[in-house]
Amino acid sequence: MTTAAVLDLHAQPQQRPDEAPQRHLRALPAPALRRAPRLVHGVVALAGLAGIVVAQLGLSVAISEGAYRLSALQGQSTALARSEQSLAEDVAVLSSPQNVAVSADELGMLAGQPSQFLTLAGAATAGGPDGLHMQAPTVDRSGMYVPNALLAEQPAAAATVQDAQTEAARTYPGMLLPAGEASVEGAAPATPVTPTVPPAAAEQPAPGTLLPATAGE
Amino acid sequence: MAAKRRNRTRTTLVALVTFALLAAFVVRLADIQVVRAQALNAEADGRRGVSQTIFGTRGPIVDAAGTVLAESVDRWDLTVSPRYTRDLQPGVDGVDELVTVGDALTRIGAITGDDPYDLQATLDAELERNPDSDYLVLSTGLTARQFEAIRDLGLPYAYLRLNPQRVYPAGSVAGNLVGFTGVTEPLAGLERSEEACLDAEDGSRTFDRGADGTPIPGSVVTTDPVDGGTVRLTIDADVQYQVQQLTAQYTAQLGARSGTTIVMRTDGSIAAVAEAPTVDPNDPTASRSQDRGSRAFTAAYEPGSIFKTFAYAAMLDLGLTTNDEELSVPWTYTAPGVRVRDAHSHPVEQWTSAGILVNSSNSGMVRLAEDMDRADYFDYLDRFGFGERTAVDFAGEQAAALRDPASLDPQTRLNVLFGQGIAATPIQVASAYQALANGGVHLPAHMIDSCTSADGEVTQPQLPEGERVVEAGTAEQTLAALENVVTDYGYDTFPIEGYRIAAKTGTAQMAYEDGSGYDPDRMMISVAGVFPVDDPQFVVVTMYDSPQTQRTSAGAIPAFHDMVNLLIRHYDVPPSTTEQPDVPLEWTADQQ
Repeated sequence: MTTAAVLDLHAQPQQRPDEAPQRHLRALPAPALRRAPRLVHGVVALAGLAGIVVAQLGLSVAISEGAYRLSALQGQSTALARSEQSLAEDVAVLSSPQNVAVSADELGMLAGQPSQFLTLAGAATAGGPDGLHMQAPTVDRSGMYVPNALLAEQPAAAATVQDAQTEAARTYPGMLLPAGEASVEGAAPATPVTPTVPPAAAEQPAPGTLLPATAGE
Repeated sequence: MAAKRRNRTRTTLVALVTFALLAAFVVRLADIQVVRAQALNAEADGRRGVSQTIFGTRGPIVDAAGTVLAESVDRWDLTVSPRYTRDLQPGVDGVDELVTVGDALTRIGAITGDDPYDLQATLDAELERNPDSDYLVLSTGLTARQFEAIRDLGLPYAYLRLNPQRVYPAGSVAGNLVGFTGVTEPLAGLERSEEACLDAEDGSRTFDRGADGTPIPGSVVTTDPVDGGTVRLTIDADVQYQVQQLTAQYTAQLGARSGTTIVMRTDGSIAAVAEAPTVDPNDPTASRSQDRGSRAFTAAYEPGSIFKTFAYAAMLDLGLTTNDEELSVPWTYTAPGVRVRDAHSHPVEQWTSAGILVNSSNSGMVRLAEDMDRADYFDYLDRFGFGERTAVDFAGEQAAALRDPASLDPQTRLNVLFGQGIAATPIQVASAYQALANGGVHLPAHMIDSCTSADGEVTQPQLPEGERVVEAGTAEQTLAALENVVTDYGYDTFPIEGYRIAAKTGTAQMAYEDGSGYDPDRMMISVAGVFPVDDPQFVVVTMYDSPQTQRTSAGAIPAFHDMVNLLIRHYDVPPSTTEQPDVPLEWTADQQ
């Protein structure tokens, strides 16, 4: 029922004398034939839906792609941190006083002269201190006096120490040996990596013999 | 009519089925969401949730210049699942050719340095013990390079577990002070006493993972670890190394049981404490247990003649004598029940007070101290820092408490004047000489400069206040007397030309461990000193236990000379600008 029709219902019916009375009942107007939905609407709707799905998919792919990238970069960062750390470790060991001393020795370097001092009062220079009384080398037959277990992992330094030990342990006829070492021949030096028992140690020292202090263990 | 009834029955049936289904769903929902929620959540977390520990890094210990003495590094343990060990087939496991377990162990051995046969034996033993064993540690402490090499082997049954470890890049340099750590906890030295600063808090990271182990975005929850702080010492690693080297060389040369050297600055900060034999904290088990600590702090002994300095300073300060007081000194002192002898017999000498100190005469010291109240003397010793642990508070440090002076027997009353019947640690002796070097003011000995937390906050340890022990003049007079020990004691290895050095030698008797008297075969030779006297910068104490080749203090004199020498070289100490004052050591009747 249309609005006009509703209004009609509420309007007071008035009889117009000059008009023939109208019929109260009429046949409904035939409904207009419903047109079939247009194809374009369906296509738009479906395309929109597909678009949303694809966008959603793309978004989550992008996010998870980011996660993979993040994961990969984190892995890379960890690996780099690892190599940074192992290099830093190498540097720390190489810059240890022991390595510097051994390498300097290997290069034939000697301790520098002490500083000279100028006195402002006179024209004279004052010399620094005299030399050290201790003349022993930094490495002797039993190894370094100030050992560093980490240095054994540095091939160059380890080789130098071993050479110096071998040199220090080399005996010559008439050489005074530390008490307790009876044999001159074949007194192999102990190496820091694989300590070998010198053949001389196989013989028990005579009771009361003073053992060298460094062989206390 | 029949159709209508049929219709109603169908409606009822549908309604019933619907409600039954609904009820079933509600029950199931309640069951899942409420009743079994916890178990299911846990199971779900277990399937895709991962929890990782993020290790906080234990703080480093560095020297005064920042040289790293101790730091934490990442190490890995290689674990395998014994029951899943199998030969890897090409095509199945992504290997080019067959890799048997033996091959794998050989390759592991080549990387870790282990014997492959040992590894095989360990593996077999574990399978023998438990065929379903899922966990076996094959090798520990792998470095980053070894870690990567093993990971690249691609063994599906191997797992590398992070296990941070402590390394000491400078090896045994200051190893006696830094200490070392065990598997889980610090065991010795500063590692132990500075635990509060160094310790780190572990964090954690939990996330859900996808099928390939990638964290699912948005599921990651991280609790950041808190790294430990940096402990900075007053130790100078270069000096420590050189002093340690010299101490070890002299210990070997003298055939001594052990050697100890302390270098302290005038402000009480410790520059070096060297011991021989000592410990390399990278490998503490290579040293005997008694060599793993610091004797300078833990081994109290009767210091002997280097202790006379303090009795002498106390007498000067009390006004009981002066450097030039003239005495006649025979080599023995006897009184009822007591007897004191000098180290060597000598005729009656006409020595001044300074001469008594320089010649280290026991009988002379006793004569000088006849009027000194021992309670006063012990007050001085207390202010010099004896009888209590130093401010360093080293792990295992001894206090060597002073006895009540009133309870001393008559002989000990005399012996305490020359360092017998009284115990002190080497660090206490050094700290007491510091007071003389610092114009009579004793400052607390310390070794910790600061603790810097991970977020950069610097805290310095609270030190007790310094305390005046003797008047500045007394300190000056004592050092002036001691300068003659270096120049006039009769050893040309002692002085360094151009530098004013004050020092006192000592040959101390060592008591038996059980306290049953002195061991005649055991001596502690030592020299303690201060230099340069015109502007004191360092205190040096060096001592050797039971030397064999030179059994008097003369053995320690070249060592003291070399220690002072290297300090002068290292710190470019300029020569003294003033002359040594003339302190008469002897007197003759003619002069009067």
